[in-house]
Amino acid sequence: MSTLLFKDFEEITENDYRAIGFRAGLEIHQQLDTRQKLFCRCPAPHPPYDDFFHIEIARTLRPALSELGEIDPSILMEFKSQKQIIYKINRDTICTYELDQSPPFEINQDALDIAIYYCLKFNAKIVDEIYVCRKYHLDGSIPSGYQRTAMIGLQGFYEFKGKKIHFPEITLEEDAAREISDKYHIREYFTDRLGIPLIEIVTEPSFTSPQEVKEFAEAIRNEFLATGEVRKGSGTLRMDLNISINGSERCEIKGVDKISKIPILGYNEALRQWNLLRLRDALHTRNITPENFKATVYDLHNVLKHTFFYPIQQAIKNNGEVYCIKLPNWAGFLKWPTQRYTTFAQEISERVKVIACLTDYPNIIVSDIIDNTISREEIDKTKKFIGATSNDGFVIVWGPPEDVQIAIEEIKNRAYEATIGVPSESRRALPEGTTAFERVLPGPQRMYPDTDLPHINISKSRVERLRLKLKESFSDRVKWCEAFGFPPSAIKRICTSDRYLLIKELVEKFRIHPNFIVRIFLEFLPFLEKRGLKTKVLTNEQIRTIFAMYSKGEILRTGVFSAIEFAMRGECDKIPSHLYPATNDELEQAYNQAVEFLSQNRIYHNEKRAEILTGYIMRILRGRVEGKTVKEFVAQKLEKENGSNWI
Amino acid sequence: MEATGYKGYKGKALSLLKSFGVSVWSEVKIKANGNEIVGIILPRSEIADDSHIVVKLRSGYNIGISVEKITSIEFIERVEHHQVLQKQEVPFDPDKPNVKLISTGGTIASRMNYRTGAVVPAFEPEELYAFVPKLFDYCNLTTQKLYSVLSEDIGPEEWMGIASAVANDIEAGYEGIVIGHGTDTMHYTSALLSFIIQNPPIPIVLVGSQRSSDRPASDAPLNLINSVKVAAESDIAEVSVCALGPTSDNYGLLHRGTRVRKMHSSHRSTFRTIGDIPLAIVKADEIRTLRKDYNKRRKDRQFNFQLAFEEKVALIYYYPNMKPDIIDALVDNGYRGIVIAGTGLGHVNRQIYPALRRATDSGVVVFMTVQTLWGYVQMYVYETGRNIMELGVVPGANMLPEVAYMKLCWVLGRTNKPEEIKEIMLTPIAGEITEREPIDAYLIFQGGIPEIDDWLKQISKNF
Repeated sequence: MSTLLFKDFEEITENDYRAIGFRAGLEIHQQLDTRQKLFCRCPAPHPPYDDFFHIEIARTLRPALSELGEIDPSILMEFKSQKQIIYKINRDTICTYELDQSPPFEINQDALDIAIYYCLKFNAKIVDEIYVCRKYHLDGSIPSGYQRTAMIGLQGFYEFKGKKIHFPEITLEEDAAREISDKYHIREYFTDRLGIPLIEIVTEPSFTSPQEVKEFAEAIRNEFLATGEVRKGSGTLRMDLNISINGSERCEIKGVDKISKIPILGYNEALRQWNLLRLRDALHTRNITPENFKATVYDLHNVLKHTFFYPIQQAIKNNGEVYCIKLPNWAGFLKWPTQRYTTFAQEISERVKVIACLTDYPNIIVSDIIDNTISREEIDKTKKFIGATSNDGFVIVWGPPEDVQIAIEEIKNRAYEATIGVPSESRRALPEGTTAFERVLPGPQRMYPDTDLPHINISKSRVERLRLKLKESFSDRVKWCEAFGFPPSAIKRICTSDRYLLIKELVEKFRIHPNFIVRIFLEFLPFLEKRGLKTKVLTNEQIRTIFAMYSKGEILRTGVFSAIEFAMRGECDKIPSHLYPATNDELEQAYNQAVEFLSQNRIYHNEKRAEILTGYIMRILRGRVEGKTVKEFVAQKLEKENGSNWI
Repeated sequence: MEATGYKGYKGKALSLLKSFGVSVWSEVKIKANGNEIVGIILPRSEIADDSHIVVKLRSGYNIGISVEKITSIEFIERVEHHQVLQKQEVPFDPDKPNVKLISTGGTIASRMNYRTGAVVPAFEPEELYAFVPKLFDYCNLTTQKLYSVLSEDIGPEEWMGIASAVANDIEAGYEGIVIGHGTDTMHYTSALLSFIIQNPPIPIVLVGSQRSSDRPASDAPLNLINSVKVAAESDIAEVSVCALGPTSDNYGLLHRGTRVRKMHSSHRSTFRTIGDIPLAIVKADEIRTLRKDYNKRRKDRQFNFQLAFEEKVALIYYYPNMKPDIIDALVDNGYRGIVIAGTGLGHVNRQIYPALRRATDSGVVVFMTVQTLWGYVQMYVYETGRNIMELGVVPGANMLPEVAYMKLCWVLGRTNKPEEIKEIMLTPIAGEITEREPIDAYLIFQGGIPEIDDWLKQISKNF
């Protein structure tokens, strides 16, 4: 395969992925539906979030040693790009704990219950003694600099398409803040999500194509939805993809919030890694190897001090510097393709952006792609100054002196890494399906024990209590739906409905026809919701009562609709008295009223007389008589009156 | 294997570890309930039970495994401890002022040693240089580890030791002194030092932190930078406390040692000047003084050194329903002085009048302060106050209860003449009593009021 061209996204098949040794693992972060946050008693707000805030605070973070005395590389990198971090805070949902002004409160027991519950659901062994740990993040996404997290379950698995997908570790942790901007040395966060409990499930790298990952993610999400202990809505389920191909290092794609994006993200990452490996081979053929790698740095200030290229002009005006890094023999490699529509120059540019904080694009100029930047003449001057031939490549970078020095190191680093292959890194998912460098991959060194909280013993009785609560899995539900003949198009929505257990009871106990269930739960309730009624106020008990009456014949099918509407309007007391089926006398009476009404009004289309009468009677006896019955009744009456058959 | 190899393990867990020949900091493969777990055995809390082994997994997480489930432990290797925070050689610049950093313990002076679980001092200059190199931009820093005690364990012995060390360092020619101290009792120490070392020629800054330096959001680096800057560069030659001003990492505040108090159990901006305004705002590049009436830095080495302390002094927080036996017990136990934090303007209930009378009659000096913290004692306004004064209780103006307590300890160490005691107590030495309370000395805003919320949004990062 490596000698072939990489196929287009639209063309690529599972076999193609297998041929390049595509391997993927998935990390799923799912917010749990608790009333309060994980380590404080703030209410846990539901999405969608707005951008409202009361105050802003500013912090800085710095690295600390782990218990093994090592500093994690990702943390060092984040420290290199020392940022001021601004948090936007809504006082109704954030207390002093989230801002690292108070020690943690005890872990939210409801959240712990749910986490144990899901561990059991995914066949994991529950940890005997839970230790809350600190996972250090110096990006500022958590004001304290660390995320409190605890291992709850070990060695779980989930059966998926005949494969056992293993989850070595299942953890419970607090959610981080939401980044909204990152410019120069300032990064801003909204804190609306901060502290909400979430469960993290990490799979082994068991998947061999992006499509498979996507299907698996869907299956897991359905399992979550089917049990109803999780939050729903955008941003409540977020995933990280770990991807490698033959010969490459693992890269992590963070922040995938739509399952449908997985195939294109997986494709682009595989393509990028494949291209980087080919770039390495090409570099080696020109004898640019890790041992021989050379890069020389030149101060271009004098060469470019009169440039009209605005970014450099501005940088010089603000006492900045301009430097050039010459990469001997690199001609052509800087425009080496990586993902769809991106080149190797972008890999360098992203590093410079993230680590050196040169956030305004363009932040570099590379020899292979110079259009619309500095002039031809300046290029020639530069080449002459640095002594570059047409075989050489170079990268120009500019900005504040301190940032430029960091940038130079990063440019050299990234170019050097190309001679080795695919650097192991965290990448951020972009909306168009490509990814951009975020940071180097964190390791276990970023984990510290949390000295602020006691460890927690998980009693056997607690586990057994939660085991009893285990609901049927999504796939069991699907089987049940199929057995009872639900329409296929409705099955997924029925199975993930909050009222699944009620529906099951209605079908099994009251013998309600699945079609009627679909009509009520998937059509009528959403319809009322659209009309501004809140379906949430409708309790399962109320629905049960209504269907019980229906099954005993106390109300008619049409009465069920009216009864539900009454119940939602808070007029439950009307149901028994207003909705009993109409008697024949009442029908007769209503008919007479209708005839009376017609006699006082002129009808232009006499052939529609039956329809109009029926409609009038239905209005009077709303919910108490079926339309079909009225229609027949009217037809009979008219037949008697006119001696002719109307139907 | 040495005993420390099983730190925290006892009973069942200990014998299990021993039976498999493994100890703390061994990487092992544990078989439990048919599962294989690879990880490093960690020390266990001394107060935890004896039926679990704590293991750090390869992913970095810690878990406890029940001893009953473990069927075998296989030793893989011993994990060595790497000290990455390398000591770096400290630069010396003869043009920079020389500052002394005295460590007494507390959060700021410590770093968790995760290997032993012990809190180790991190106050070697070389370590500090690696941790906060900026400190050395301002001065040549010399350090001295005087004590390693927690805030709550600081007592007369340490106070005398700190005061003597500071006096020695002033004489030795240092241009500023910084004292690392636990925050809980820092304002006691700062008050006492203000009385013992009067009219110092150089800044003496106490500094602490609310978050240990093993946390990325620790306030220790900033507080150190700010306090060292004050010691090296400012002309405020007073005993002061330097701590973060707002909840943001924006600036530090320099508080007068006799008017400062820790006001929040965990906030990093916990220190507040009470009943007055702070001395200065401190940033890495600027010290902005907020008042002019401070003691200025001098070239000489003259200062009034009055080392004294009486231990038999009590500070009583009055509460309704207080019974006379509390006071009686102190008198019977030979206490020489009592400071009462009374209600309102300085009141106590009628029930304890006889006990107070008995105390003053037997030569115990009793001073009144207010538990409202803000405001003056004024015992003429209500009859109660007059009655209490008649019992011989002396109003302590607007001295903070803790400050009055430290001052009385100090005064009683110097004299036992009632009139002299009263005179020294009521004569301000280092700003512990002020003649007036400025109108902005009492600003406790009430959150939730719309105007305050609007204003907070405006000043956000300075709040």
